[in-house]
Amino acid sequence: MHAEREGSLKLKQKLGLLAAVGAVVAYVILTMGATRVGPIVVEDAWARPLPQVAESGEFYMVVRNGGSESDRLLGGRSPACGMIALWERYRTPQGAISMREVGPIEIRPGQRLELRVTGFHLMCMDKKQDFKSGVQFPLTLKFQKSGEITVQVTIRAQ
Amino acid sequence: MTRSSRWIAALAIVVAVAAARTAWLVGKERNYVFHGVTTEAPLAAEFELTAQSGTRVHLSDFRGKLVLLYFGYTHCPGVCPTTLAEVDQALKALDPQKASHVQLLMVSVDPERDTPERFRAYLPHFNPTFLGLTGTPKEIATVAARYGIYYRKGAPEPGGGYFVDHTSMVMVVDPAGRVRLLFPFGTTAKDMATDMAHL
Repeated sequence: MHAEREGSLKLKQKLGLLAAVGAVVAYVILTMGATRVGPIVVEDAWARPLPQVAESGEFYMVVRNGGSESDRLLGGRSPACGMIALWERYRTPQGAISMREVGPIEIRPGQRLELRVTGFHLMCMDKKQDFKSGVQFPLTLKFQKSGEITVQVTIRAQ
Repeated sequence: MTRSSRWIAALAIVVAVAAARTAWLVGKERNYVFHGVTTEAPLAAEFELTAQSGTRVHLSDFRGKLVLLYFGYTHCPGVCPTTLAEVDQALKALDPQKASHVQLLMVSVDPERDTPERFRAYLPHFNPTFLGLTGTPKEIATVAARYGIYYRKGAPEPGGGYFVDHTSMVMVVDPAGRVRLLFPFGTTAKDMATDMAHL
């Protein structure tokens, strides 16, 4: 009887340990490639490989606001760029693709904002490093309420 | 049933199945719907521009090849690199024999900065077969107008550079010199490759 109870306790302990390990693994997987500051989460920051002679590149990523208040992306900086600015790409009435520099980008509570080639994105001007496939470099984003958040930008084909 | 009539019946079934399969395949090819925008196949306007090698070339020099005509510029931060990378992926997805008969020509909408040297330093990053074409501002304006391409230089940027707004699509000129398809910006490499395989 005693031995049996001890056996079942061991089983419970094992299950508990398994659950704890599972939770840690799940957390690591879910947060892989994501950087969080307060309610703001930045995921999947990347840029395309570019010829060495190219002066400017663009950073793409997903920004999520898990908080209950709006926040605003003000800009960023990176050792890979002389200057970073927020830009928006849009279609002109002539059907051409145009861009304009924009002010702070609002991220509403619960919003998932994708920075991409066809919309808002970060323009890296006067690039200081080679955008070579596989390379990573830090990018610090500045938010009005959440402050600064540093992510790694990966250079990859898509 | 005699032995020979059994053979005839079996043969008839085989022939019927083969015929049905052929009919189905032909029908499928005939009903292929292009991902790109189809045109009324107008003759592609002839032009003469300066290639990245420094020599003058004509569009007609590429007759017999499938020409992908793209108007862009090398200081372009996002749209052109995306397009060139997608075209490269599309060529890699094509049958190598077919791919060797495809020629991408990138015509500069920024002739003041896009010199042959600049193209030589820029294009091989994407694909060693890509060719850059430039010319005088007047030559470029004429070619762009013939193809309905809009472009306009933007305001100066803090670093002294500028961006150029431009119609961004890849025009597909078939081996007979007719504009057959337009790939608007955002067409995937896979869709481009499938369409090219059907031209």
